[in-house]
Amino acid sequence: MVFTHLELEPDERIIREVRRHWIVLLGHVVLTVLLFIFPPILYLIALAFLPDKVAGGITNHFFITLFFYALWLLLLWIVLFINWTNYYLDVWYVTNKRIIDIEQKGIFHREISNLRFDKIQDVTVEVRGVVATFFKFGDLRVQTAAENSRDFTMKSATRPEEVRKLIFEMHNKESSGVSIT
Amino acid sequence: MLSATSTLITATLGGTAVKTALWSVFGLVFLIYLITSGILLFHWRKYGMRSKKVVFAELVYFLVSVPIVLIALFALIFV
Repeated sequence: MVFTHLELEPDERIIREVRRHWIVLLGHVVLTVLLFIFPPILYLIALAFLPDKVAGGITNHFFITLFFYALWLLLLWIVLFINWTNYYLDVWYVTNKRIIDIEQKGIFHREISNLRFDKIQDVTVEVRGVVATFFKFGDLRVQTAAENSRDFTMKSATRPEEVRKLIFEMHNKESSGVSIT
Repeated sequence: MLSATSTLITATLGGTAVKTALWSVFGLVFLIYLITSGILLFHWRKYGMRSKKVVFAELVYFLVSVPIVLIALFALIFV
């Protein structure tokens, strides 16, 4: 991977990438699959239950049906990849000097913020429910000491407890003046 | 009633006006596809940091979407 657009300092290196859990994307995939199979099911139902003359009319228009179904699939495919892009480009990079928060809020809405470890006040993790506990994901929130800066939050982050430990570890090293390489 | 409607639809769909309308629909969706693909490609290339996952996603996106466009096009030709 090439991290040029992050503008890392010369002695800065990325320790960990934090993303939302893949289960977040699963909802979009399941919905896409359902919408994918919905038209053929509707088509088969129409053929089975409509009077013969009407059903005959539908089968005669096979290419029109195929045309609209192909366009429908294309739109579903585009939406799926927009969702995937929003998911994949929404990321935190924990480096040896700071946390870089890249928020991909939409296809035209992107925010990049930095947080030095010495500005961190607290890190909280919230894992809610059986699914989140089983698949190890939860909400991660880094509170900052600075008055005019906002907290960093990531919903449904993968392995948030490990990230919290890492951030604390880096914070403690920074506070004790140990050089972090 | 249903039979009459069916006959009417069949007769109408044979018309040139409908074909023009179908081509317009295709043109519109194809334009959306081109614009969105351009935007996605821009994001993947600029912010994807040449990750293997992004390259794979790019490949899958076009390997599936291009045949879908072709299917729609051929279906339209045979209408």
